[in-house]
Amino acid sequence: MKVDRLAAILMFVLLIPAGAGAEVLTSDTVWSNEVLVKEDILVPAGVILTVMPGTVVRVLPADSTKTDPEYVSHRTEITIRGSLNVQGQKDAPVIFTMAGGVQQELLDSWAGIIIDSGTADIAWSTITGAETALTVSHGKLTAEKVSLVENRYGLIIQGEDSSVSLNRSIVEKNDYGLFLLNGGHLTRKDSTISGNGKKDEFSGKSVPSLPIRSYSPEDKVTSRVYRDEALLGVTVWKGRILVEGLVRLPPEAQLLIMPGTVVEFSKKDTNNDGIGENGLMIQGRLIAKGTSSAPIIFRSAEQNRSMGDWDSINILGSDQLQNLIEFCQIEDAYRGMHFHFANVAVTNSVLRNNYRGAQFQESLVIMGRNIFYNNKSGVQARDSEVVFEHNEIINNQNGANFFRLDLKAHHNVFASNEHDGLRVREGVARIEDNLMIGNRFGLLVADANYTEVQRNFIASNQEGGLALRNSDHLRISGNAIQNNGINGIIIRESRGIISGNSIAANGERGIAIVSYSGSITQNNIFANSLYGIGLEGSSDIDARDNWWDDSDLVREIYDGDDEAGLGTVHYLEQSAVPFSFTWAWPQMSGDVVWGGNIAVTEKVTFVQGSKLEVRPGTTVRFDQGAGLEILGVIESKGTKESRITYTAEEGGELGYWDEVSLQQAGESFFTYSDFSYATWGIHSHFTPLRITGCRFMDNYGGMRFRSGPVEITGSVFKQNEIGIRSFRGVGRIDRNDISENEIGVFIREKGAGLALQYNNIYANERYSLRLGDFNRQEVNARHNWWGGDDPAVVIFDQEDESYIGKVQVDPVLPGRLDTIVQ
Amino acid sequence: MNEEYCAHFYVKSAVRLQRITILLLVFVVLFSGNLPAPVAAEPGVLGGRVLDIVEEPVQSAEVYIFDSLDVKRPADFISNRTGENGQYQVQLPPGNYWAVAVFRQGGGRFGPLAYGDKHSGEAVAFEVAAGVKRSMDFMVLNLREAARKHQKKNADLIRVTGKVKHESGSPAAMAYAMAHKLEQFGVLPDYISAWTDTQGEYTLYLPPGRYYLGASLGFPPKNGYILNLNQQFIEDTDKVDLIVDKVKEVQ
Repeated sequence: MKVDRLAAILMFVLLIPAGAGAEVLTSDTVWSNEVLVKEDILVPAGVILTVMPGTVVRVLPADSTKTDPEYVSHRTEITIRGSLNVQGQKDAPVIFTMAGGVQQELLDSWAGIIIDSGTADIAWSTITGAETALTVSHGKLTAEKVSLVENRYGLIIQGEDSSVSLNRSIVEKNDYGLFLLNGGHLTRKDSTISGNGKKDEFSGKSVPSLPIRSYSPEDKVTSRVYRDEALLGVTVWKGRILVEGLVRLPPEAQLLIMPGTVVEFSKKDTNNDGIGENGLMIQGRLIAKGTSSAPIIFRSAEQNRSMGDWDSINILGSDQLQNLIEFCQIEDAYRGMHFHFANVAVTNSVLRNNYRGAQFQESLVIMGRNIFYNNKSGVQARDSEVVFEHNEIINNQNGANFFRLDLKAHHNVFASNEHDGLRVREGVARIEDNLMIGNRFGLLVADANYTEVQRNFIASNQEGGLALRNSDHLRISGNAIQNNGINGIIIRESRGIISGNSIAANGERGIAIVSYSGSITQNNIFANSLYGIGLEGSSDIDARDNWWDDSDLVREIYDGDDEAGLGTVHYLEQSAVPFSFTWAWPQMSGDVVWGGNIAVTEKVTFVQGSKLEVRPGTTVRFDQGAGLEILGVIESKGTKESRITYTAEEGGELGYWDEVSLQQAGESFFTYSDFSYATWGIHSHFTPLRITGCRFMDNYGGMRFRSGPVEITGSVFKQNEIGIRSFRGVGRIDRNDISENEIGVFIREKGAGLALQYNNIYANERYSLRLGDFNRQEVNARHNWWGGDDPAVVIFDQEDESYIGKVQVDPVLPGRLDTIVQ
Repeated sequence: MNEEYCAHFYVKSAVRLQRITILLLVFVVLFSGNLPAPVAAEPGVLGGRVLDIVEEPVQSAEVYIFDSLDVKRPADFISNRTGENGQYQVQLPPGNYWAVAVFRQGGGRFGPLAYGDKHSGEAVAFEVAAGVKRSMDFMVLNLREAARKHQKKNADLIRVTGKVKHESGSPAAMAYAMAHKLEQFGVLPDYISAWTDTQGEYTLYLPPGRYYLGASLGFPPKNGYILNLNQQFIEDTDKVDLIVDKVKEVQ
């Protein structure tokens, strides 16, 4: 059958006059009449592609594994880094379409027109049959009378520096109409975006930028210049090296680059494709062993350095010895590193501003603690054995793309990449303990026979979290898949086990299923905006024994009960209690939602700009010494009927776990949240914080704070060593019940900023209120009930030590307040 | 088809169809729509062995057979469970099929594989003709075994791993291991590892043989270092711990 279709394609190709081949257009080009695009077309900076009125551009679709870094998509694309001028007219429109006669399910679609840092003016044109008719990524587009129809996506505008003016145009009959990602700008006039199958308009939410490291070289004078030559024996480079050609290292030769060396490559572009050709070609051994204080820099020698000024560090056929690239910074290259049949370790290095950070095949590669950022493509590999650990792949157009690897990828961060964070096809992969956040798509696993995806945090990806396609023997477990723009997981033609995950708060569906054979069990699936599971296929789905929180499953399961022809999702029996979910990630950014039963085994830090939402009814259990550090925001949203619990994993020991620490955090709150067996339930510094209806019992300390403002109301502090401790605190403590503690309230210093009023403060063992030795200020504690005791007996202040401040208690309430909210 | 997975099975004695049989089959396929009533064709037989990664027979495995390339669903036919000799056999109506072999640790026949269960990988396409016995062997692997099977490591190299430590026994970060055929070397030893992590862990890739090993903090190592651990390595070896800078100065 395949042969027949391919034959049909070939016949079709033969019958159409060839107008354009696959190429980088190195000079201004005009298309007219019929144009067949067989492979990718790239219009580089400085070049103009003009399409004349009446032209029909047919693109032969392909979903390949092409390796050239200058291209963006896996499909056949027309990429504009220079200018595109499409001069359609009312009576002679221009049409861009998929080459006819090809069935879409066989070869998929063509990529579309990608305006990548370029500009485009398109008039009176139709674009159809593409994955995305128009993608504008860091570029500008003016579209007048343009129809984007019957594509998967109509228009995608990516990045704050992208702008589109859409005039008198139509975006319809696509699966998705308009996507605005990472702050792309659109102005539209008399344009229609409607009638798209799945969604007309979508705006993705980006995550705060992660810190990015880089190395800064020392100023040095060029000590040696190399041109086209071969290095024999052992060569040592140090100081500042200028390469003005292709330096080759034949087999048996060694190049040793000393810490602190700067290697610069001048630009030589003989074919005028915009990409430099100077570089290193190593068949011997390369040892580039920098250190953190004396890194090695590889970069352009041009005054205005730009991406692709030089070629690459090529290591070819060097697998008898391990090559080392450590503490290096590689920038401005076409491919920063390029290995074939090589054995290489790359550690602690920075790869930035390259078309592609690293590319390799048939190699044994260890990559650890590197950062790939601001490349068009971070890393691409095939047919290799790869250990990929503790790397950061951030802010690239495409993150990591691995094809047919024996891959172990763990503890990496794939963040804010414009397309995929991590894409894995075929091969054997263990993908564990990674963060995948803020990409357009977090993780794609396709055509794989064995894959484990475990303990990954796949969240806040703008469109989708985890996509599984045509894969078998999948084990998806222990992952938190949440806050993704549309679908948490999307599954097509796959089989496996999806178990023990937390799938929450995704923009539309927790799990979207086209076709799946396997089980979905013992997951916590909750708070997804549209459906917990949305079925689009006719097969039944086994989704028994999951916890759904308080979901209305009749509404939140979309299956044959909602649309004729769909299969049935079998979700009964469901678990009445949440499954324990271990939080496996020590540092979090972006938005995080906790629900069900969370186990915290170590300190978890929520960085500045992040937000932790804890849903009603959640239980958080801490291992010994574990705790939370909040530098962003926490919203602990317990309710009277559904309280939140923060407690010890086991035992009943004061101080078993550490604390919920808020350090210069954003405005946060805890409502109806209970703390027990902590060192301190809450420890807050310089944070605006509200505590309402909470219980602090059996901790070493209930709550301590510095500065504020802090508002503590309606809460219970009981059976702690210290109920509340304030150090230079500012805020209001009222209508609380503070009893049976060793010390009820301890104000260490500068207590004048507090109003401690309308509380029941009684039956505390040593003092109900004690001022610290350094507190010289008067403290307002009027209108409290002290359990009928003489306040002077239960308060330690100036009456006891003359040099400390005085507590103002009058008037004292005669009886217990019964207005405590609990 | 994935070539790597193709390597997991072996067609041992595929019976060649005679030309006349092919013509007959073509005739039957072309004109079967005009036949007055379906005629049950004589079944064919598929048999063979299910083997593990070291090519030992696997007991209690099954071969699942599908009538389309969509093999991520319940099978259309399932063989008997293999016995001690790993043999399986199943009768099939003549036609085109796809097959995989599965071994489930916990028994059972349906549903996705559990942890540690084994599978033969990509489905194998085959044709069964009436009355013909066809033989195919399968190799079943779990994830770890599949990973090992697919390693691209240069077969000539072995992997030596361990920790670089200070003399106190604490792990040495930002150190590296070295190996050389002789006690002394020139600018660099023949083999050198990446910088160690905070746990002091290193990996050296060496051709099998006898080497002198050492470890250093500074790079490049000082002139005159003498590597003092002499050891033969013939296969991947772990826990070869090295003491950093424990070297003798040249007299």
